[in-house]
Amino acid sequence: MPGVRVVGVGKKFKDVDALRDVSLEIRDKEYVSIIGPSGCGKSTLLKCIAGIIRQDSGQIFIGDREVSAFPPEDRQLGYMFQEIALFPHMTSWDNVGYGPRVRGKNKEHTRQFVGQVMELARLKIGRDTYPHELSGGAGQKTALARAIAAEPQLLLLDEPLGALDAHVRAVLRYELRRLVNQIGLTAIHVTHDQEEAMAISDRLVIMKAGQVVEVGTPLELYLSPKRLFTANFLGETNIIPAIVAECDHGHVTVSANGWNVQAQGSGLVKGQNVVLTVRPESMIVSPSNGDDRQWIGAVRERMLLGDCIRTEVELDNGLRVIAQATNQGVEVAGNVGERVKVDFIEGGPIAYQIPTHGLDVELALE
Amino acid sequence: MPTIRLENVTRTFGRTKAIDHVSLEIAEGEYVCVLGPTGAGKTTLLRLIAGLTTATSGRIELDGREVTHIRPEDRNASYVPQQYALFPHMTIRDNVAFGPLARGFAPQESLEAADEMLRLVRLAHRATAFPHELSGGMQQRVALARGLAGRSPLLLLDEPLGAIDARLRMILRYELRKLAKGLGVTVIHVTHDQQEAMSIADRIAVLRDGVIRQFGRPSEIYEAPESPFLANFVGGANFLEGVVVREERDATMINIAEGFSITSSHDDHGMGDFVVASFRQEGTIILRNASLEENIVPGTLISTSFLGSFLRCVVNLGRAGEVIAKVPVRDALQRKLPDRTGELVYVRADRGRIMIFDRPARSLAVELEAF
Repeated sequence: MPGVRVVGVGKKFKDVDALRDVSLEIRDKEYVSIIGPSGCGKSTLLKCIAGIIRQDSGQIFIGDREVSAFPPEDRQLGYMFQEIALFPHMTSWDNVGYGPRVRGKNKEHTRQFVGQVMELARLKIGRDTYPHELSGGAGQKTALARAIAAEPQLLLLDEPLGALDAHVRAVLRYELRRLVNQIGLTAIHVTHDQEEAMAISDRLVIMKAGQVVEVGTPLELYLSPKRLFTANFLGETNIIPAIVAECDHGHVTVSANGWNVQAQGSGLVKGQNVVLTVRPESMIVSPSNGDDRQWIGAVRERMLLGDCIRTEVELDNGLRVIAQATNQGVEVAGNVGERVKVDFIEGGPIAYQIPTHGLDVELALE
Repeated sequence: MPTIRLENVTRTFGRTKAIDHVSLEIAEGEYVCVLGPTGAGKTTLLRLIAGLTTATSGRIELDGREVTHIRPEDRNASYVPQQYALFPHMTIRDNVAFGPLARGFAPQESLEAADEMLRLVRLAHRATAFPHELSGGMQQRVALARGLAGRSPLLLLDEPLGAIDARLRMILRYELRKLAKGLGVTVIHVTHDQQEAMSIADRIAVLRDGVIRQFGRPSEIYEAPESPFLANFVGGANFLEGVVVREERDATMINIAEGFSITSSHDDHGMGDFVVASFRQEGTIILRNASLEENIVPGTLISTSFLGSFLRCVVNLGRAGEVIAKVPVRDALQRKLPDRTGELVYVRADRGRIMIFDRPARSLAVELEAF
């Protein structure tokens, strides 16, 4: 049962709290990504689970065993960093066979086993190829194959795709996920790349300033984040100051510079100042026929980003918003200067209380 | 008159042609991204323009003046390398002021320029800090400010957002463009990230193996890529190999596998040509039920992954291979699209959005490779 339990873990570096009372439960065979801005403590947490850093307080369990005092080699885990550390003087195949060999497996067994791992990883490289002859992607896959060949129960990945080009990165993440699935490992993956984390994880752990902000499935956290920080961190979002105009059993109407919109929101009262968030793809831009009174304005900028079209609209009430439409070949309204109206997809707008520590601190990305 | 003109520029390192007969014209005030995979020659191209490496053959002009063999400091260009080196013992303000100082500005003037640029990159509040006290992303912005503070009309940026976390990078790319446009400088920005290039550039030069494969506005490259490599590298697409089996005035029909063909609107390919039919992932529509009309084929859902605004669905079409559909998430939720692997679905691609390429001389897999 290689689930992982982190209970009240704290870690200080000099006077700085790298981790503050972090608790977390990861289930057997779950793929969990830890994401957050740089300096949030995500790598420190992973290193504590790995045993590379010893926490100051709290406990760590892998399966049913408390491993808090165990050295890394007794924790039965595979660990992979951003910087590939393949042994340069060994062939790639010998690199992958390193784990089985040091554990005393015989030559023939190791040879066959490495062959299987290579096949599983879809690595087509010659037996005599050395690491420096590999492309970045193949090198990274070899490092992953080596981690897997050591037959860990738990795989810890610290920016495993970080050194790669965006294009290769986006291909390899699915390979990584498939491989972990097929072998049936529990994996914890640290990344700064939201899309990567959402694409391959069962659940996400959002961290900030040494603490866990929110935990949930990618869909939950993207569509209905509980915290304003999560809403802004997980993807682009419009952030609009507003005030609660009406509030009735979970149905909230907020007013932004005098114009009303329905929003999700809880614990809000009428007249309260709030922050309204709306993802660009939850705003639909269409030509204004002149009868509309609210949420109308003029297009200021329009860009084709590839899979979507991004439109910046200056509304007549002074707000500027970004809308994004899928590029499906049909004509999308909104040439620069055109008068348009903006509609909201139901459930898209979310209203949040203004955090007590202030908006800037809540939204800070560094 | 273009600010930058490259004519048949080649740069070899030993037997390797890092840059292979590149010709390029960039106008004043333009923001150009040089996009390509690792090893394509992007940094070499930038260093050639900066004067940090010399062309083996060919000619480089800046502002109508030949500079092929002119020293970097006489080119009136500011180069910000990927491995920017901030002076560790100097404050952020002094680091930035070093840019104009090195270009002969007076000390007071240099400090004023530094303060202004720090405000623009939103680091004015950290002016008295030392580099090691800042995050990687902040340090990169300091390097950028130093490059800008010297007031060169030409800014050469090598992966200027490379060290910055994904979310912040998304914000900063729009700011970087606004900054450059506000200052009126000409920018050449090297990146391997196609989304970054699409959202920031007036024009993109896609480089592969030292050769410019296409140079055009983002929309041109996206809507009319000149090869399967370009379609794949910029935006991603589905590719199916086949043979042209019917040619009509307004349609070309391509046989992909037995009982499966694709119809595109007019195309120049003729009967019997071996081609690759390609369509964008966001133009690949998934249906729960359908009759088998034009360009609708049944398949099996292999996997789905959530990308935020899109749901990425991999569908197996049997002998024709796999295709990927990017479905807007709200749309997927509203239409209750199948989400269990193994389910039967239908895939549709509209004829107007099918791109047809010659079948590459090498295999399709080699053509698409970007490693």
